[in-house]
Amino acid sequence: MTGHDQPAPLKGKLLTPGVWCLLVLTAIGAFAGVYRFLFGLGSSTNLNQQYPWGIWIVADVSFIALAAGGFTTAAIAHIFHRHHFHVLARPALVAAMLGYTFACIALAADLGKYYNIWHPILPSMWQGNSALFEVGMCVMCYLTVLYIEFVPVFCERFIGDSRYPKLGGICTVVNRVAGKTMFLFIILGVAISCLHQSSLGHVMALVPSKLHPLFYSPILALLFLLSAIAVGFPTVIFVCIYGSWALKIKPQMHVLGALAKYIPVFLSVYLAFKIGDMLIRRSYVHLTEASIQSTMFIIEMVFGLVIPIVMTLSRRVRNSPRWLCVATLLAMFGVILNRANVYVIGYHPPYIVKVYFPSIAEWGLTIGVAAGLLLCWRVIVTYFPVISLPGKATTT
Amino acid sequence: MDVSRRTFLRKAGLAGLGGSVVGLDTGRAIASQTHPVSDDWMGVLVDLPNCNGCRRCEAACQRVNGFEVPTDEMLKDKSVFAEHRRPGPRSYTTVNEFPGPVREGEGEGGLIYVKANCLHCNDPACVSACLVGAMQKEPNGAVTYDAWKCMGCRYCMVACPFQLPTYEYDNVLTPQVRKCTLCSNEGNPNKGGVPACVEACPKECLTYGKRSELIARAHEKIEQHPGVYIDHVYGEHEAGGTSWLYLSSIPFDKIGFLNVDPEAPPRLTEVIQHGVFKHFMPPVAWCVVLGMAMWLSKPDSEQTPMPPTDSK
Repeated sequence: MTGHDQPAPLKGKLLTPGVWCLLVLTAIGAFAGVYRFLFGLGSSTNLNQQYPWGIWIVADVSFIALAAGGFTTAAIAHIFHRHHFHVLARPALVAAMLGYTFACIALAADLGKYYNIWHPILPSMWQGNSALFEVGMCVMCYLTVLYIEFVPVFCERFIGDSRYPKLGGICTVVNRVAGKTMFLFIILGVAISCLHQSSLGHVMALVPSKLHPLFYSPILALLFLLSAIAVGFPTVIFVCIYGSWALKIKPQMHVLGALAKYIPVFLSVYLAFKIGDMLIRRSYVHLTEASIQSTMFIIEMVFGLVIPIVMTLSRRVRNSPRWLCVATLLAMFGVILNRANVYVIGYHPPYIVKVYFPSIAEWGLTIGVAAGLLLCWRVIVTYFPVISLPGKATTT
Repeated sequence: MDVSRRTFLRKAGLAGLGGSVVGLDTGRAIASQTHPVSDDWMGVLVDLPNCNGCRRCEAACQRVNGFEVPTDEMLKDKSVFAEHRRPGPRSYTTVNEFPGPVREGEGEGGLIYVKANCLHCNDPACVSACLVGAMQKEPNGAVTYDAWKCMGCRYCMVACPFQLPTYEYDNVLTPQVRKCTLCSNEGNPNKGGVPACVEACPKECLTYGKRSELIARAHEKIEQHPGVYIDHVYGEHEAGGTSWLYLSSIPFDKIGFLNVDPEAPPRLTEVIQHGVFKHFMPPVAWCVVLGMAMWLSKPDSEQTPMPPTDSK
């Protein structure tokens, strides 16, 4: 049955209307990027002395959180040997690889001196007390691991391809080595991911005086880790369902529905810790203050956690592509909103001159980077063996 | 379903590993380390009741840093106090005006002038935050900035409880984080000596000296003139203690100061950070656990029997 599906390039039509939309949005993003690099942060953003971080930072941490689908899928398929989900490992890997790559692109736009982005590589510049140091080092390592995990996908494309005999030959050798050592990188990938997903939460644990009580917690690291793990499967499922619709193939609901069973479990663990944290710190007193922050917190809890949990507990939802799409999208939205809440919306600095709201260029670049990511995903699954169609054998 | 002995051992092994991971990491909890305080640290005591708002300190700071220096005409113009000015990328210190206490039968109270700048914390959040070590606590107590290392992530600005570091957003290619350096930066004519603002102050407002001595001096003043000063030295404990210390005649939160907890922010985060990376053991242990899980959960046969699919 679907035991060992063979991933293959899809070779469908690439320039569909949807792809044209992505191209336009990516171009807008590129234009915004050029504007930022030519005219500086002051002209292109609404960042100010009291609000140094804005939507671009939220985009970075959100992409990284959603890309957790890569390591969670790798864990369930390869570490825990649930081979039923093997077919999801490559689409998840490509999504994660692109997620981290584009997060770094968006980060480079946000850094004032982006040309110094490589500085954390130098031991003379290591400052190990910083949570951001941990994030930087781990993201660098994990990006490397992701690209290494992509090597078999790349190699399989060219092995046996008569148009590229030399490249095919090299790929055969490289692929053999990769195959033997891949288990190491899978393990490293999961471990490294746990470290930096939690460190991204720890970054804001340094700022108790400026974070709204509903969003600050000494255990922000744990909450970020749990939410990243919890949003991993929803992201993979959403990417596969939406990708299937876009690519005009049938979503493999028997695999996706089975994976969806884990969603309410992980989301509930995260919800339990959030509620427990709220009870222990007594931050619930702020729930009724009817501020932007309390409203966003409630939206995050209800739409991002409670509703997806209730939905994915239902077998009918898990087996319906449309309803599962809604449920997973809500879970993803919940985590993105959480990152926005902790980093910007819940951040209230002293001496505010002007409250921050993203500029047009900031929106443009953010949307453009997201569109560019989807565009690359589309191109890669078209030309490389990522997606496994049931019952389709490759001609190798 | 047949539960073979092997399957049972495998599951028990996995459960045991899971439990030991939790134990391993919680066992690494370390008591809060106190940040060493050096007696060599210098500081400045700001006697706010003595400040008359002449802003010569601002002018001196502008001069030694190569920024636009206000002329005597501009210094006499009191309309500058109409808006609350915070320090910026080309004005490391600003003096603001606040209404003083209204005393009975005295009509309108006097005005209070407050000099704002980086407080050069004992345990700076910005130093802990900076991932490349661009922010440093110098031996003389100053918190300085190394533009060469900086990549402009602005985490220091997020971390500072006093919202002091400012950014050159209008600098396209080489933006820097800018703040008071206690005249300890390279190229500063007052480096190694008394900060320019202290030198320039015509009244007995700014005193430069050893932080420990300044604190003693501050408490002496409070004791000797209880009608003049409230019993609070701002900066003695705020954010773990700062090198800039203030004396005031009215509560600090009425003159633009923030209520900041005595716990230095890095004490909240560095314990966890160091615990998780103690000799790299927890991350390595986690890798080992994952490896064991991978090995233990490997199915006996080549073909994995399909788990029962979600039936329609």
